[in-house]
Amino acid sequence: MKGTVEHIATYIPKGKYFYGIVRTEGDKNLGPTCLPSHRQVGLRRAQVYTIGFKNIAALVSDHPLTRIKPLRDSLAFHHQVIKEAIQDFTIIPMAFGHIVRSAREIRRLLEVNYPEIDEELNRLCNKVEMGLKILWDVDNIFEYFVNRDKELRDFRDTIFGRSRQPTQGEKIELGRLFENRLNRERERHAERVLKVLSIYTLDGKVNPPTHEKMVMNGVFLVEKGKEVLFEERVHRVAALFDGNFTFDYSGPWAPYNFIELELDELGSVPSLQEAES
Amino acid sequence: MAQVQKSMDSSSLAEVVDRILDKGIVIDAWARFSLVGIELFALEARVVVASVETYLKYAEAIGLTATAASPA
Repeated sequence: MKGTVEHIATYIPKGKYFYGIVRTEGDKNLGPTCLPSHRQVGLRRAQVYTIGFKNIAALVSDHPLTRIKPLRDSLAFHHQVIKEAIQDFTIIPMAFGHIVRSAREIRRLLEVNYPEIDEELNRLCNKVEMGLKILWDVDNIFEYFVNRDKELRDFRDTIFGRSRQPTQGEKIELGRLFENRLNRERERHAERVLKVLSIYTLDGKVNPPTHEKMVMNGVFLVEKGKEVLFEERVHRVAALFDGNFTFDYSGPWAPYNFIELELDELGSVPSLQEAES
Repeated sequence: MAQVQKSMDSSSLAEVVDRILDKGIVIDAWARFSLVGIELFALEARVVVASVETYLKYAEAIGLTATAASPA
């Protein structure tokens, strides 16, 4: 009896882990062609190959059709495949965790959305993303601002300098004033940086900061092969800032922040009996 | 002059997570990852949202700078 249950539990249908869509020049249909170089290893160390339609193809590797947890190893394999792919291809990356039942479904997706994918791949051809985070490199960001802003300092002294505790309302007002100053400085610095970098980049965006010490969370679209020029410019811009700032750049990345494509998932059948693991 | 550094793969896991979980194409019917069981580092990249709690936290932190500067 127990054996029967185990037998059922271990049956998991096969699927394909879907990394992204690449431009493949020349061939009408590449079919299951492997990545031309590099490690070619995807999730669960499975071989990465392509499923093609015209001059576009999906990068996939075999993977059980299960739910997948975004654990460190899986994320790293996904990232590694995309990272290697950008050396040879223009790629539209999928978000982590897409598993498809069959090559037929993927081919259908490529076919149905071909004009939009083709256009997007043309737009992003030979472009990579570079990231630039600027941080306040200070021990105490609150002290840093209070020391530089008289209004903030005076307000602090007023509400904390009395015998009674500040009211909730006063605290909220002080917090809001701090945030206002923080954002004002962020905008001022970002403007300076973007002005210099915009000449050397094709596009740029500022994403919301993820913590108080973050001045700017920028991403830039750069022509492939010109990453070094970007790095040089970052060093030049950094020279305009004092030691209270750190410039942290990264890349090249696939153009994650610049994808403007929505795919019509025609052909995906909702009533899939799904194996949970 | 501000310090400049390049994030290497090992140290930029947050950068990786930020991109491959939040960016990239999503096809709902095929997306099979759930946030249940997500490792803590993946939550690092969440954005700070302005709220009353945030303002109160800021005010408390600023209050502490007063005690540090001029012990009453």
